[in-house]
Amino acid sequence: MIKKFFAYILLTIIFFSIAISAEKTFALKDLNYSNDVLLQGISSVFTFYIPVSDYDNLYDNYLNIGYRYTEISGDNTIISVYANDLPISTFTIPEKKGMLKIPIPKSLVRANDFLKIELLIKLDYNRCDLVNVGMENLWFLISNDSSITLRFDGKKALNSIQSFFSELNGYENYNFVYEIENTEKLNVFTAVSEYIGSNSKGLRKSVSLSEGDLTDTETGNIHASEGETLELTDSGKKMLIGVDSSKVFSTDYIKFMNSATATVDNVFPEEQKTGIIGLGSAGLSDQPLEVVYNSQMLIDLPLGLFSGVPSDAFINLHLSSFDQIEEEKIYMSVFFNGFLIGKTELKNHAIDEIFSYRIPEGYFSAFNSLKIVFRQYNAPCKSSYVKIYGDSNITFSGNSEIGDITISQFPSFTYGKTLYLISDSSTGTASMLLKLSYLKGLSDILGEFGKVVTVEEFFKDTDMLKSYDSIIGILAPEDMGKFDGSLLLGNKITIMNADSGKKIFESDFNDEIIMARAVKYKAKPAFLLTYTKPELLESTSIDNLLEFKRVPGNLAILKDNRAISFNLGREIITVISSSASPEEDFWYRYRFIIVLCLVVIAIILLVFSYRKTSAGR
Amino acid sequence: MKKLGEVLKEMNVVTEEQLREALEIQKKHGGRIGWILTTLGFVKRYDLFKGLSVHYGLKFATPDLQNLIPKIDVILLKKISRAEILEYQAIPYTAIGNKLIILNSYPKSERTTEFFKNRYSVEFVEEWVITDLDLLETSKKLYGESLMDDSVYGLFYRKPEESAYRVFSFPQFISIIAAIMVFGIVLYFIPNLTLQILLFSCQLLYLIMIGFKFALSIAGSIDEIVFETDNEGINSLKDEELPVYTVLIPVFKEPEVVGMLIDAIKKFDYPQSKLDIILLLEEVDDITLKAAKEAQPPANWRFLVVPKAAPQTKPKACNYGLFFARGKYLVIFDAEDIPEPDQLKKAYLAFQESDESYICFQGALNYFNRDQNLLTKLFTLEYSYWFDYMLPGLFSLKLPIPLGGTSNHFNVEKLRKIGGWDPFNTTEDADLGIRASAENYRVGIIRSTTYEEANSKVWNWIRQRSRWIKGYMQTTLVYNRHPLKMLRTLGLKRFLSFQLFIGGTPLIFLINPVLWGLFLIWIVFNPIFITELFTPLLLYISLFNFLIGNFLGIYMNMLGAFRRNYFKLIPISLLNPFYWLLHSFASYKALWQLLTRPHYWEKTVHGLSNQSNSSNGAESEKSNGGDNK
Repeated sequence: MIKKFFAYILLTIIFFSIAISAEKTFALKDLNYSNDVLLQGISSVFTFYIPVSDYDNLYDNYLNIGYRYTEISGDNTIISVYANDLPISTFTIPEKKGMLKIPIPKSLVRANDFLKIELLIKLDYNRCDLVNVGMENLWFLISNDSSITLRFDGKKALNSIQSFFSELNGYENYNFVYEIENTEKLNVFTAVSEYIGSNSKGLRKSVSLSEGDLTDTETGNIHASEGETLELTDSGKKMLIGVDSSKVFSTDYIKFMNSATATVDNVFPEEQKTGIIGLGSAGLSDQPLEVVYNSQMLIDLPLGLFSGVPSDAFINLHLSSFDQIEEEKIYMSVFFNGFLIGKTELKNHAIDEIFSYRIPEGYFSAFNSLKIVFRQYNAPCKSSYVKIYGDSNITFSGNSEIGDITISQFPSFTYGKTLYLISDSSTGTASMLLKLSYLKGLSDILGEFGKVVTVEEFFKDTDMLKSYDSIIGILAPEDMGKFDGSLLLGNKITIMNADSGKKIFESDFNDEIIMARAVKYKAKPAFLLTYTKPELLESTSIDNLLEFKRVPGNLAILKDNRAISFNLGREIITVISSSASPEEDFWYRYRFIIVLCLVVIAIILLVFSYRKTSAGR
Repeated sequence: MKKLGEVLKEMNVVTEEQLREALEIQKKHGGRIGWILTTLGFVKRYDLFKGLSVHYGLKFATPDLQNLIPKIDVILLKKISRAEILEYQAIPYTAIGNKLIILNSYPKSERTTEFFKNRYSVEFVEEWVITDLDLLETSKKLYGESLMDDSVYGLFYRKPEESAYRVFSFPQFISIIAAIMVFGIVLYFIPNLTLQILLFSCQLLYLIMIGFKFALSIAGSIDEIVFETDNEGINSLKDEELPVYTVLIPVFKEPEVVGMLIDAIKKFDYPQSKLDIILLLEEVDDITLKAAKEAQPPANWRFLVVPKAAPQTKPKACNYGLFFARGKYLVIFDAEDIPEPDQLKKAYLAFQESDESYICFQGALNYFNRDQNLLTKLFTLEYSYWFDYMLPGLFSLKLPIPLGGTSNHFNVEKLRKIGGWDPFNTTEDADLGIRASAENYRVGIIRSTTYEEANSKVWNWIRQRSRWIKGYMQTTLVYNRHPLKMLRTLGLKRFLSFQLFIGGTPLIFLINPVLWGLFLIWIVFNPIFITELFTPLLLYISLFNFLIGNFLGIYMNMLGAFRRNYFKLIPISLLNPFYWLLHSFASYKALWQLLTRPHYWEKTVHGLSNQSNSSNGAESEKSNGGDNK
């Protein structure tokens, strides 16, 4: 009896142990690598990501790597494994083909996150000098059967505010629940949406708006609430954001909120803009760059970093180079937005040197790209290293006004602290506001929190504009002309060349059109958007809006999900059309009934007449 | 055998002096002495025919006619047609063995007796004399119903496709329904383009109409194109050679004009004894009949009472009169008309000098009361241009001519051949002109004017004009029932001319207020939807039509005034756009009536003129400085 009892207890423990502990294996082929991964060159890197579920207490995680590599490579072929950017193992793999099992420390794997695995392979190329081989013969192949196995004990991880907004995990779509239409709630939503955008660079996330709470478990619902509290509810699926707490979304503060609730009683002081921008804040790390043949580094520099176009700007690159062969030289070329701003021959073993190049003011645009290219000639099998330090910076003495802006530069030119202008607080406006603020966040760095005001409020105190860097406007057709006198937009749009009188574009009253204008309003870059039908504000998706990126002009029309653009001013184009007259409006509203009535009356009259005067006589 | 004159003298119905006077006229102008005496008013019709019976030694049957009519042998009637009775002026009464008795108002005609002998295979024909009016009344009693039926439905029975009895043919009905539906669909889906195409079509029609009328005016401005007859030609005509000329005068409730009418016709430069004047009276119109009887017109006048039957229209009455017409030629005058005295001779000469293709000659119409008010002035300008330029222009270019309402002189035989007038068409004259053209007959123009009374009251004018325009619409529909056949028959030039002149005229009047309305709205409110409708091309055409078209319209109206030396009317031409607005109003009324009361005859009230029409129109014209061309 006792034996039976213990046996029963044992079985129960085993059963529950099996039930609550589990393992999950991700093979590369499960991660859409349908073929083996072929790496070429002496030195190569392969990176992939594994989503980690919301279970805590992960243990005994390991990586299985199936591999094969070229016979040319010697026995000292080295593989280094990094997990979440931290090295976990480095060893030589003399066998040309085999399977490696590499444990991953538990501490590096976080729940509700992605696990980034990076494999650095360095072939043993000591024969390279003797044999004239090309890069294509220097290969390393990783089998797509390679996998990672995560084991966990079945205990759920703590839901945190951070996990809700996690860059790599979290939700693909954030749903903002708009229960009561008012600008305060829109302020909250705009800040959060900007934040999501800012944390979604390179990812496919989206924002949506609904008028009531959704029960969709896949959706991260966001509610604007009163007070200063951030609160995660509904098993981490729902976030309540206090009106006063929304300001934290302008900062990185949120990243540190590892709990499910937080009271924000002090707002971080806004970052003081100075005349120095560290490239570290733009994503530059101290990682050394291996230069074989040539290598390059790209750094994005949104205008928001500078709060305007910097004047007397200099880029100061702090770098060291090493492992150079005496007779070979490394040349460094620095490009800013495609313009060459400097070229330098690096000395052998240059240590802690600073190279400064001037960036002319005219080279700045709404979104800027810094490209540093290192080129090593005549040493195909040799590698050298260059390290650019994170304290490299751009200095400037002041800001000037941004030059001509185009639609395609949106959202980059709506940098910094943005004033959101709206004609109303309708659901449509709210929905579009979310999309635009998300896009703004996507292209900008987190800065100061913007503000949502109605057009009416704005014109009561236009001085408020002095506190903002840029404008995003979602305007009813009748409000558009208040900001850009050259436009009188309405239900029907006709665009003509003012010189020749030639009609370039004409819409019909039925056409569903979103029109956007990139313009400077009182010296502030502004993206103004209007529409022919209010319902378009909801139905136009972020992908639709990205069509604007394709067009070069400063006035763009989005019709049937295709954008066309015009250069108002430069091409001397006038937009002559306007809001529908009451008669036209009446006609387009009731035209089916009108036409039907006319036709029916005419036919009845004719039939009556025919029967009376012509038929059967 | 005693001479007729002697007989009448013995009967104490004529004096020696009257007989001598009649004989002198006979010697000078020819003609039969009996008719001369009668038309002079010396002898009554009854006495004439009684005298004739004595003269020929025949029985005078008129006193006993009411008893004889019921005894007329219907079997005999079946062997003779209605037309033959009217042609020979005789009715078979009864047959006794080898003898046939006929009631005859044209006794002792060998042609008549031979006809009856042959038709009834008898050896002897006995003639009983009755008056011509008795013969007419007897015919009406015997054939009244069929005469009426033929007057109304004759054309429809023979050529239903050429009658306006039916407004729409079935294919037309279906086509119009389909067109309305297609229009509705395209208007819904592409309203701007649809309206632009519609406007463009309207403007194009305008442009073509302007060009067409301008071309007609140029062609019509050449004097030589009309049949000009000089005094020498008219003087060379011998009265005894002139044929009998029937004058049809339809009247309705116009008792006041009968007396003036008799006086006017007495002034005709045509032998009275050769005038066959038929006053067409409606059965319901007692007052005019009474007035006519009291006026005691000469014996060459006949009162023909048209039995009551729908539709009560002028063409129906004319058809009825055509059955009884004795003349070789026939002309229609309205009761208030004042033709130039020598018009009949001019028409006769025109027929003589032209080839066989001519069925009709149209005289010009103009107004004696042109100075009465603004409306009559505008009406006069219009008519002057119409009859002095437009119709001559059409004639010159050998295009179909829509006839005017009166003063159209027909060859009776040819008129009967093409079926007379269409009683269901409210512009029967225009219709007849087109039908004649479709039958390959030609209509000529003579330079002789008939003066009518211009409508001086706006509403009366609108009634009259809406009837005319409705008739144009009917005519357009009738001759577009088989457009391809019509095209083959008329040829492209005449076909297009018909479409433009008959179909285009009412259409332009319907379009006019819409376009003017758009223009006014544009001027006052400048709404964007109008700006957008007018593409540059459309705008240029519209502007051309508006400026040049209206200018030409006014200028061409002035032309008529110039030709007739009505210089006082020239400034009035500038008011023509207002006059066109009246046309448009009448057009919409006409369109409504076409759909609801297509055969309704809007009677024009005459006698509204405060200017006496007893004075000769030509004199009236001369007093205005007109050259009376």
